Amino acid sequence: MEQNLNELTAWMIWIIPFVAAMMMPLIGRYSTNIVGYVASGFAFLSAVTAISFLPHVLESHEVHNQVLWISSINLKAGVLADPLSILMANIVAWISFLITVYSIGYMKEDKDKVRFWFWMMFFIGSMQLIVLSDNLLQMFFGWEGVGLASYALISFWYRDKKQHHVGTENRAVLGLIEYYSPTHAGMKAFIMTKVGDIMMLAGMFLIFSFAGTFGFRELIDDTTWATNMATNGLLIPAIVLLFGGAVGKSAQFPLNEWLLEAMTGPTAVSALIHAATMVKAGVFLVARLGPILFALSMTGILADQFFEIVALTGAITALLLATQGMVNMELKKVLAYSTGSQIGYMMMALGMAGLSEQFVDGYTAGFFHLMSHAMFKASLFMAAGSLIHVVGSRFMTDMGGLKKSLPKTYIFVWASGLALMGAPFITTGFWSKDAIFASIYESEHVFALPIFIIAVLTAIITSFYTTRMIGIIFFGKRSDHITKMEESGSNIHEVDKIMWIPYGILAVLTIGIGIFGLTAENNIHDMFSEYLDHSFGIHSIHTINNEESEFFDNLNIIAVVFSLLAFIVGFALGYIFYIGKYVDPNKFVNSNLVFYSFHKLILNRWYLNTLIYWCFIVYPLLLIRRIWRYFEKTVIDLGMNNGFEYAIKWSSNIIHKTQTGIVQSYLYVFGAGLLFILMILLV
Amino acid sequence: MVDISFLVISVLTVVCAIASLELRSLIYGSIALMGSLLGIAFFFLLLDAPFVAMFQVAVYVGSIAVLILFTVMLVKRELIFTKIEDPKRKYIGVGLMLILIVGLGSVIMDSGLKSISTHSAPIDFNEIGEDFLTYYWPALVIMALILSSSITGALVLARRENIENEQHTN
Amino acid sequence: MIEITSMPIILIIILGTAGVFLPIISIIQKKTISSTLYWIISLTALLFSIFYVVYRLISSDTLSTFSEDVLTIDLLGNLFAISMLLVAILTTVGSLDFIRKKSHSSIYFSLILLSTIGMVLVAYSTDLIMLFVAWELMSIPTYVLAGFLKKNPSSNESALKYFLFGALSSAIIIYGISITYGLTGSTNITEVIRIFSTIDAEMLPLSLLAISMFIAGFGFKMGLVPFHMWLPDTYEGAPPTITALLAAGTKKAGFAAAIRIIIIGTIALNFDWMVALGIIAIMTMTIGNIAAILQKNLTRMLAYSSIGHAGYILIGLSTYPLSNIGLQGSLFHIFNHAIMKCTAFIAITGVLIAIKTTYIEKIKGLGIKMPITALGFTISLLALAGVPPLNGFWSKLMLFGAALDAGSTYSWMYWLAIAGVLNSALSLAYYGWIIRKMYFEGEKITTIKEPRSIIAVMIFSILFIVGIGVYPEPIIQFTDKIIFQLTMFLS
Repeated sequence: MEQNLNELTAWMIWIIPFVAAMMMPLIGRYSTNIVGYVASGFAFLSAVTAISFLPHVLESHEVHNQVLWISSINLKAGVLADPLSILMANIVAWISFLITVYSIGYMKEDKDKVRFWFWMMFFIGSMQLIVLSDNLLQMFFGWEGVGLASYALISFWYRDKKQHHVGTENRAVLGLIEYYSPTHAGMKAFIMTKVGDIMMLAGMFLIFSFAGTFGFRELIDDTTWATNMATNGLLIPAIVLLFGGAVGKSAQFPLNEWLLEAMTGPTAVSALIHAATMVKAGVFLVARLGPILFALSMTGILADQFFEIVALTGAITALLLATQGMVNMELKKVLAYSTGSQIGYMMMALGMAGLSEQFVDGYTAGFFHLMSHAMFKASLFMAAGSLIHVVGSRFMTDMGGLKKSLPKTYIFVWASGLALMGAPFITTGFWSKDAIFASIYESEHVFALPIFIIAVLTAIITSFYTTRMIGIIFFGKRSDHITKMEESGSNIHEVDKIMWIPYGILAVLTIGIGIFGLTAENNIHDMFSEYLDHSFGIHSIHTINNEESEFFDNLNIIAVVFSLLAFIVGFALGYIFYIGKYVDPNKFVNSNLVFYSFHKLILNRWYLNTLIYWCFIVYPLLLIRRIWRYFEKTVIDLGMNNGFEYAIKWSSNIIHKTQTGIVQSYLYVFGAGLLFILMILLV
Repeated sequence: MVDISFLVISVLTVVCAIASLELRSLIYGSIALMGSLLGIAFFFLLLDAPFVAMFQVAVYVGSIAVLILFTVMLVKRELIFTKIEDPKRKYIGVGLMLILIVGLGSVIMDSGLKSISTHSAPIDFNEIGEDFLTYYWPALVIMALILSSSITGALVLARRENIENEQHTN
Repeated sequence: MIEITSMPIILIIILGTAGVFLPIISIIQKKTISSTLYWIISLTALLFSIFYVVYRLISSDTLSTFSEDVLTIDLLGNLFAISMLLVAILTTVGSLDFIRKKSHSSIYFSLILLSTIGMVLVAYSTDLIMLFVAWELMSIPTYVLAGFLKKNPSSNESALKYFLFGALSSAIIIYGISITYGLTGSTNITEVIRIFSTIDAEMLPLSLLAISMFIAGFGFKMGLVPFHMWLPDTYEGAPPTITALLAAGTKKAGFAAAIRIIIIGTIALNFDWMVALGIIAIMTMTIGNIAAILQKNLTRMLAYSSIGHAGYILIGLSTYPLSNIGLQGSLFHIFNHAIMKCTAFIAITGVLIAIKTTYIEKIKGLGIKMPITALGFTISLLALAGVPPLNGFWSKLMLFGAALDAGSTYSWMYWLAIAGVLNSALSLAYYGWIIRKMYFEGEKITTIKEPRSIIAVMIFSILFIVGIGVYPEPIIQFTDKIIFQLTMFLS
């Protein structure tokens, strides 16, 4: 009985948001104002359902329930609630709940509430479907649902008003203007993630053709598929293709560019995309696959190349996007760069985990970073939304000196900003980043050193641009924009309670959990090592035998030193330029050619975006258009239009002619038909 | 004796059937139909089934054909048809009918029907009645429903409505 | 002798009482009652019946396929009964706004109820006489219903054509029954099949004559190709709600009878009928779809498309002895097609109520004008075309897959699959054309009020179609059990 109840609950976690989504239009018919509250209520319900599961699963009971989906090809649908998915489901559910509360305030004046809430709930439901599904195919449905919802929400303001665009107007890079409308941004996100999705689909079916199943449990239990694939040399390609899906969804290099334009939707959506639902899906996929593949190495099938690719992709993305975050002037875009780069950290950790002996260290580090990032990034985004809401501009240069006007937001942004920077000992960000450093350092792989350097470098840059962001927004003089606004009568003040409380909670939690960060990390570590041991047979080397001395066991002194150093250097640089204003950043950049060209390079996003546009959009379109024109003239006009259409019309007309409407002729056909049937039966 | 009477009755039945189709006047047409139905009753007599023959006369000739006659006479206006008839179509129809008759007939003749014994025991009416009330009773219920539905349907379709009234309500 | 407490009899009692008393109430009360009351009464009766059938289905699992009685209660009958009752419910619900301002609404609802009894009993009957009587009970009310719009000449024409061909096909069925009775001396299908399986080789042509009579007689309702000529005219002229009943209900009753008599009968005769049905299948779907493509009227287009679908369903029947999946797919597709077509025609009813026409040129911008109706219509069309996440996809997949499977035994079966896929593609073209008209054409359109009863049907159908599309397993397993029962019976 209890088991059944648990299974049902596991299903409910992802079904509730979908049900809520379906109810939105109905409720919207009565009142558009209560839609948000109802949606929020459902999100809360889903979150409560998720957390009620936590104690059960933490005792490492796995809940796995399957129903036959389509028996003729032996497809099953199911939920798999193990520690990994339940932790993830809780993060997703609670963060999304807070975001929905925030959205009630944020979307108060929008006319299109029903559509907004429908897609928000759909988004959350799809993400939970990804998290809880027990097989790749079902996960893929959620995956596509997330893609669809993100498209609909990024281009939510489909009328393409100027205030909702992203980028600087008229700013061209290599002849292409980097200024995008919401619909364009939505389409860009959709297509770029779709590239990854197609790769994922290919990988999925490659595995299916060998294993005959999509189920994760089945893939773990019987590993003959992997042996077969490895002998055919297809294992690594297949899982790298799967990873392609993660790359697209998590905005990793080289499919990172969509994330930066995904700012055009309502900020609550950005918060959801960055903190809970969309980009984390890729990390989750790697976290799901990682142990399966690592467990294979014990049966002698090495998947090192996969982990190397993951780690390298993560490292490149982390550095690439962090550098760009240093110079951008749009508040949400800076945060977007930082998301991409933080996701890079998680990928690094998961990749290095597979390359080290002690899988669980990196695994825990990556997942712990995912958790802490979800909290502080959601908080930062919601705060950014409030700031943009108040100031009416997405540019940081239009803010400035807001410390006094928005005191609460100021404090919360500091709290979660410090977590992003990795401020030592009191923030979750510090502990998770430190764990990643430690796991990279201890992995003893050839890549360990270069990736460690990249990680530290990225940490410095992160710390720098966060300080810069806070400095520009809250310190210094008020900008012309604000002065003008105040002159015209509107005063700058703190946002509604319903908006600041959600990110306040998250900011406080960041610090609150951060104080006990090491304990939290150790607990997750223990849980995961038990989980990996129990479900995959991956034993950790120094198991939990010495309860007393374990507290500082995982603390690697070198990692601590470097993360401290990174924080201090970055913060100091930021302080010099933007808070203390001892040096003018513009002058500094223009002081010599090296700085100038580097600044230009990162300002133009390493030219990656432009190159993608030239190589994959502009030129191919020209080429296709030319081919199409030729094709149109020859094949379509001659063959299709004249041939095919004529044939159809001709045969259709013949049938129409027999359909005279005269009963006698129908009767003759009937009689002839009877004879005909008798004939073919007898012959 | 049987052969000759069979031939005569067949010709009579078929001619009556054709006449009921082809005659312009509805009254004569329905009388011809009566003749054709009566011919079928004679077939049953020839087949040693007097009970069925009696039924045929009572139900079809007696009531249904009379019902048709009454209906025809009650309809006040003489029905006028605009006759669009293609002679070609008529010939095709006749030809097709002949082919059909030949085709079905040859199938029937070709099979082993000739060898069927004709000396079966006469049908016991009691048994039929008993079957109707036991084995076939749901069919009887359904027939009652068919009748009621055809009556209500016929009433709806035949009822002449006050068109102006209808337009007012609309 | 069948007991009075058995399920079909109770259905007769429930629906028959309601059906007979509705006109009586209207006579006694004389226009003081609105049509809503009649609607509520008939809906209650239908809902009660469907719940009763489902309840009996769930509560008892030991059922016999064929019995020595006139009626049986087996899974095959249950599937058809449920889908027909569902269609009757949808039609009744969707009729409310259509019939409200017309006279004789009580008789309209009563005739639908009586016809429903006929359909349900066709599904359950195991006796030729019973089958024929039920067939007539199903048909006669629909002749009247097709001509219910008395002042509309095309409705009259449609009813007349329908009646003439209905009478002809009834005569042919009777002829078939009499030949069968002459050969076997029994009207009970179980008995007939038992004797058929040991019949003289000399008598085979005669029994085949009976079978072809049945094909022609039932094929008239199914819309198989040489017997389909009446169908577009009737479907176009009849009130669209009644067209829904015809296309989704009575057509399926034809298949129920066909499976009971033709398929089982030919198996008993130990005779290879696959080529014959295969040829009819290909003809039916090709002619239906090609004729549909240039139609200007929605109803007529869908009428032809329903001819095409009869062809798809026949694929499964013609591959049955080689693969169970084929017949399973047929049953599944019958069920799906009932819902999809019913939805499409009810949507057309909504269009007819709101904009007074069903010409395709006139439905430009329907997606904005009547969003819910248009959505339901679109989803039903996509399901008819067999677009993946909807229910039509799975049944078509099973049908074509079965044809491919069977192709390894008889290579001409591949052509069934090829023809099916090509026809599906062709049908997508004209369905897509309707969808394009609704969503991508038309300017300056404002939303108009959609009839509530239509909205109710649309929402239910959308959920149903998408629901079964996402999770088709229960129905597939149900059909699997049906096939199991049939094979048990035959062996």
